[in-house]
Amino acid sequence: MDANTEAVQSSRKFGKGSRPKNIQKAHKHRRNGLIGWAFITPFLIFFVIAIIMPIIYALYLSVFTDKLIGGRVFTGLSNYVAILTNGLFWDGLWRVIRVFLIQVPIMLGLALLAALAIDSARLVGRSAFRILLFLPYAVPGVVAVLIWEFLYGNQFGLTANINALFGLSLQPLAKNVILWSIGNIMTWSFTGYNMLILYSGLKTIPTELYEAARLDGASEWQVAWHIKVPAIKGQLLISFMFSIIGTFQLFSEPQLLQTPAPNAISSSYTPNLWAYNLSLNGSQYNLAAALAIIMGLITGVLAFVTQNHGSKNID
Amino acid sequence: MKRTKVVRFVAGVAAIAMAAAGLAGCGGSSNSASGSNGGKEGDLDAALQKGGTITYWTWTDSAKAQAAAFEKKYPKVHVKVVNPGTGMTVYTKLQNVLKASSGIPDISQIEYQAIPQFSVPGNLLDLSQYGFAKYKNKFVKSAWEGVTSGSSIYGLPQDTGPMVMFYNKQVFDAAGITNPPKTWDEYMQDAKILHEKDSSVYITNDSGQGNFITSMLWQAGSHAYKVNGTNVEINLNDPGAMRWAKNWDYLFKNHYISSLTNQGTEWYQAANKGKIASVVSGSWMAGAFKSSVKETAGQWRVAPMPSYDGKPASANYGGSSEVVLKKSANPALAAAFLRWLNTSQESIDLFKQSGGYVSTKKELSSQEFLNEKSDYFGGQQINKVFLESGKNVVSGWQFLPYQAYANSITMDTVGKAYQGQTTFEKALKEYQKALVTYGNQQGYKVTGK
Repeated sequence: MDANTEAVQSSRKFGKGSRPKNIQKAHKHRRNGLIGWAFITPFLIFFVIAIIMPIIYALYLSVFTDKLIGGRVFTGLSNYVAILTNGLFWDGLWRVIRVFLIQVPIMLGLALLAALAIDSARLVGRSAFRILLFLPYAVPGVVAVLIWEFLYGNQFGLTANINALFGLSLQPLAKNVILWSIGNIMTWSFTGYNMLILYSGLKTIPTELYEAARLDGASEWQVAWHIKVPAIKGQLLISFMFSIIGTFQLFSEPQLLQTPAPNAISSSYTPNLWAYNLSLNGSQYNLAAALAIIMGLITGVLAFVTQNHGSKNID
Repeated sequence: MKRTKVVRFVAGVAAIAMAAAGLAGCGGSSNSASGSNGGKEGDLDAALQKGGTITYWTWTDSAKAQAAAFEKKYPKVHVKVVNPGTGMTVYTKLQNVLKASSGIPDISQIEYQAIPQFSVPGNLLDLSQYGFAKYKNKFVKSAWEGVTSGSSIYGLPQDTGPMVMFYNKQVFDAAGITNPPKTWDEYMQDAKILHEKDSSVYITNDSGQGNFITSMLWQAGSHAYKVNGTNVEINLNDPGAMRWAKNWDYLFKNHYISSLTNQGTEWYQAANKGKIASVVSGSWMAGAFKSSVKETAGQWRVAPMPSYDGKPASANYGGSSEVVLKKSANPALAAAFLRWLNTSQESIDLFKQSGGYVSTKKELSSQEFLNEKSDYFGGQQINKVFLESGKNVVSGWQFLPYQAYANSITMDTVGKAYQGQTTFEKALKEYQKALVTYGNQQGYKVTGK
């Protein structure tokens, strides 16, 4: 129910076609509006200080060039040109796109499967399963990478043992594989988180629907596919949106894996890692700001398109 | 309907914002170089009498104890000790406060390699005006060279990291090698013998770290960077650099070297299990061995690092100094604190007690210090080896005025050689190109040779 229908319904209560109705309607509208603003003010203050202002500042920085020797000069859009014409940017972007195309569907598929399994009531020890799946999300990133550094270690880690046992020569930290090793860590970390979003959606489905379906002779799989999945499209969309933002901003996993695999992960491995290195190591804030704005736009457009498209489907 | 659109718009903006906010970072207003010059030695004592508050950025363990001892001696002075992180993190923060012209500390710890990054653009106070030149002979030569440029003195040395070779005697013995390699040629032969004897054993490990490569080039007699004010000449293919490149090509081409990262999870396992036969590193590495490579305690020894021609040669790997920022509001007081911090017996003792490896000649050559036996290293007097190495640091090495950044991007190019995709010679040339480009973007006049 949105504001319009609410207003229509309330106007009905006050009888037909008289002048006071319109005044009351306007009043109610204005009051609603004010209350609305009051509610979002705390958020808005934070939003402006923590988000809008940094963006404006980044926009400002991005049109200047600061030098270690010589100070600041206005350089217009040249930072944007420098980023967009640099192969390193496109290499990094292509990496996160590949992760997005392959890792996200796998992760969301697993999360959906897990959520349905937990919801199906057929699983023994459901809550334990739920906690265990969610646990990786609660592990701090630094610790997680230490764990994976050990698991991936092909000289003394778990991979070394697996290699010895099966006569393989797996090298998860080699240059051509490490992107998928990163994807694997992401899947491990975030499947539980997405599962929780989807599971909370499943919980809100009225159980009458299941009873009705069973009376009609639907199997558990049919219930899952025809009732549950369509009912949680909204939650799937949210998970998907978070995943878009998460993958395009891929940063901490490659940054932390740089220690065990410094020659597989360059300083511009992902756009965010590059921006970090440009500004923090290279004092190239202006290039970093331009890169941030470009990545922000790409992510924003993708998220916007997804949401627009997705919510149309849901309606 | 309208409202949903607004919501969508806000969501869109929020998404962009989330993406951008994480990156926006910080910057600041333009920097200007102006400073106070023309102080004199007497100003320092006057400042100590007058008192005041100064801020000291450091990651030294003993800093708090040193500041407390100083305040006890000079009750009118208050030293605010701030730990802003280590190394690179500190330089970034310094760069930021310098740009913003606010929140600038009076004194900061800076590694030798990062001094040019701040001294060349004129951010450091020249301490020669306070008569600091007389401390020249108090410190070991390489440390003093690290804080000076011509007649200018930009700081006082705290510690040094002379490079040595830590080696597992038992592993060498097992392969029938009775003496540790004295030259790199011997080292290359031993690399082959060790690995052929037991394919899980490597003479050493190197995953590629910018600052390690820098020190290795230094020891090889390279003069890769020639810095004269804002004019920089880079030649990463000079004869010195090529000597190192040739050896590393050999080790990697034949897989005689492990690609583990020093002090990484797997490295500790490898070192504990006797799979890594030697590590060339700074003297500070002794601490890491003692605390975390316990399974092979007693098997390790320290030897001078191999040289190219048999004559002893080494380099520094790490090591810090303290500097006074030019924009300090109370430069005389800051300099007075620095003088006490790195030259007074009381302060040096506190630093030593916390496990620091000092840079003062007197401490380094005291019999008590030199005769100290380390059980971990089989009762060896390791300080003697460190001292020798410190004396043999190849003189004349210069760091880039943007060395910290240079170290952070080394592996983007040199990494290809570590992966066996190209030779070290070609990789270093690529690295040089990146350094020339960056330097010129930053306003230096950089030429590549």
